[in-house]
Amino acid sequence: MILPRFSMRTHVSVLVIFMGLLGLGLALLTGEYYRQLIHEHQRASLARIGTLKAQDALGELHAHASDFGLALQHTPEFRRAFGARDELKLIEVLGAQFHRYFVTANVLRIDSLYVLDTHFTPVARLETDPDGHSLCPGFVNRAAERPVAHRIKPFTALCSEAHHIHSATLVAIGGLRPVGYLAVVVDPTPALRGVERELGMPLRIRVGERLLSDSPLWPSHPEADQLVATTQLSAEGIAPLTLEFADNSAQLAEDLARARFLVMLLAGIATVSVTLVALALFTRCTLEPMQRLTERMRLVRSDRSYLGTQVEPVGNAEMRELADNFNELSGELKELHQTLESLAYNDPLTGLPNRVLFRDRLEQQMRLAERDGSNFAVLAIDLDRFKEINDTLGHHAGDQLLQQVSQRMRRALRRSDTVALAGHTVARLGGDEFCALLPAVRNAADGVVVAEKLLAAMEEPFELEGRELRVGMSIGVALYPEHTRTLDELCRCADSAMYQAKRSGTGYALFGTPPVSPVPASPFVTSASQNPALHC
Amino acid sequence: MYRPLALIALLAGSVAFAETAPDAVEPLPDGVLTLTAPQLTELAARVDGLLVVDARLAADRAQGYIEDSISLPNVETDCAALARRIPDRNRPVVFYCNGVRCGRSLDSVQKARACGYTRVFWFRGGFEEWRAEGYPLVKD
Repeated sequence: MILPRFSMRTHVSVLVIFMGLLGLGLALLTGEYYRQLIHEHQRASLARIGTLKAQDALGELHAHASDFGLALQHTPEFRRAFGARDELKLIEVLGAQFHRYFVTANVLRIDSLYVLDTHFTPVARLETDPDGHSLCPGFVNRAAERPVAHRIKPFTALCSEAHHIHSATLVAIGGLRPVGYLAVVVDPTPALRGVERELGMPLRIRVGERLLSDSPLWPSHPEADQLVATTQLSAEGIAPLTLEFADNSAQLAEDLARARFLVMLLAGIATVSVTLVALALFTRCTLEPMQRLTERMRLVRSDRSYLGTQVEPVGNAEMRELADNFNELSGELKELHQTLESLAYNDPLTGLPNRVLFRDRLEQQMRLAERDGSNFAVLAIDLDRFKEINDTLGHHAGDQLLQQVSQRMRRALRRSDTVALAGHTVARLGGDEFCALLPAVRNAADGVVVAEKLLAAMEEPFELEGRELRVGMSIGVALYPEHTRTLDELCRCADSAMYQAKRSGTGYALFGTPPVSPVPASPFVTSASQNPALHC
Repeated sequence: MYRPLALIALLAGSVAFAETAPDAVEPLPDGVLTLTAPQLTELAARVDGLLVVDARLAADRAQGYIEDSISLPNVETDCAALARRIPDRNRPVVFYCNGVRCGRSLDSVQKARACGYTRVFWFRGGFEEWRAEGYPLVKD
């Protein structure tokens, strides 16, 4: 997976930008859909208008043809010729119509005229085209099928042939009591072409796929900026009669393109703004608090002293909760750490530093002394007859005794008017074995004073389980660097002095000197510095 | 729409249907049946000798008229004029004028009834209805 490699900020940025791009894409798609929808509606509207206009034009044409036929059949010469069934005369009368108003004014372009009797049998016919134009197929039959009372009404039909279209109008001869019928067949193309002028749009007429009438204004590239609408007229014949209208949609396309550009621009600006605001909010409410927490965690991990320090709870609710939890956990960890440390470096019975801590401090002190040439003392301390007490009074009493002894030693070393005790450490090394490090003690005399101070602290009887008990103590004093310069040897020297004191029962002994009397007269009798050859 | 039986019964001399005529308006004289345009054409197809009388003035007639109708403006209609144009008082006669708002045909109908014509019809919708229904008209 490549995703986990990136930061949360990158994730959020990519997500927001992706959403923005998705939005832009959707806007584009929607725009295209709307554009097509608008074009479809425009086309449908054009087709409707075109149909209405074409129907109007055809209606007018039919009315003219009807008027023409009715006027013709009403003339006395027509009536006479028809009454006599004189075909030649009828053809003559029909032919004369081509010099009258409807034809000469180009209101009607007559293809043919038919005169029929009441049984719809042709009596006479006149055609302008030698090839002849028949009536629409079934036209006469349908006219004849009408109820008698309806037959006086003019009857019309539009029909298409291979190369042209025509409109036929049948009127009754004889008014209320028809004695025959007159069919007027005209070319409707000029009337339909008039729609082009009325709508101001190029018009093409097709019969099926065949182009019957073209327009010089028809656009050469209709797909580019032209909207082409088609409508079919109900016509009888071999193929449907179709009208095609072309409307210049360049302006519409331009408007749509401009609207789309504006929408996209606004969408882009909105996306960028939202991205920036989202990032700013995210940075402020989540990222920064998280970075602070992470930084603090890193600090705590590298340095335990930072445990317990607090992080200010800021940002959103989740981040504040996280910070609160961190603070609480940090506090608890600090306490736990302190407890663990205490357990590792202190004697649980007496609370004094244990052997590990004592050795650590001793090492530090030795390094310091090596560096600045100072000297210090180590005291090895052991209780007299402790095993006996333990065996007699039990371990519990022994433990109590150790605690009381520790308290007294601690108290004794807390203050001193004569000897510098700054930075001292008293540790319990195990059993009844204690050790003291006295960094401020510079010479044997001071060491002896401290030993006596400790012995004096033991003079009062201890109270153990209702009994009073006196317990003695043996102390060995060793000096650095007078007696040795190594840590282990220093301890051995102190131990050696302590055993010497125990053996002699003098309470304390300075390494390298004969045991002092039980009641020391003067501690300044000898000095290890006077006998540097001595070793422990 | 068509009531050939009723019309034929009327032509036979009965006047009972006059009261049930749908478009009858007062004061329509007894025995006069109101016709619609389709009823008029139906009647013309079935009855020989039906005469259609245009009760309008000549100027209105110039706009077009029902073919084969004769012109007899109501203002010129009286028993003598009717007798000259329609000597047979039993001949079925239909009167019309411009439309329902034109009172000329009703005037002529009343005069014809008063003069003793027995088969009088009133084409109340007149020229307006005729043209609207798409029936043919002619002009001189």
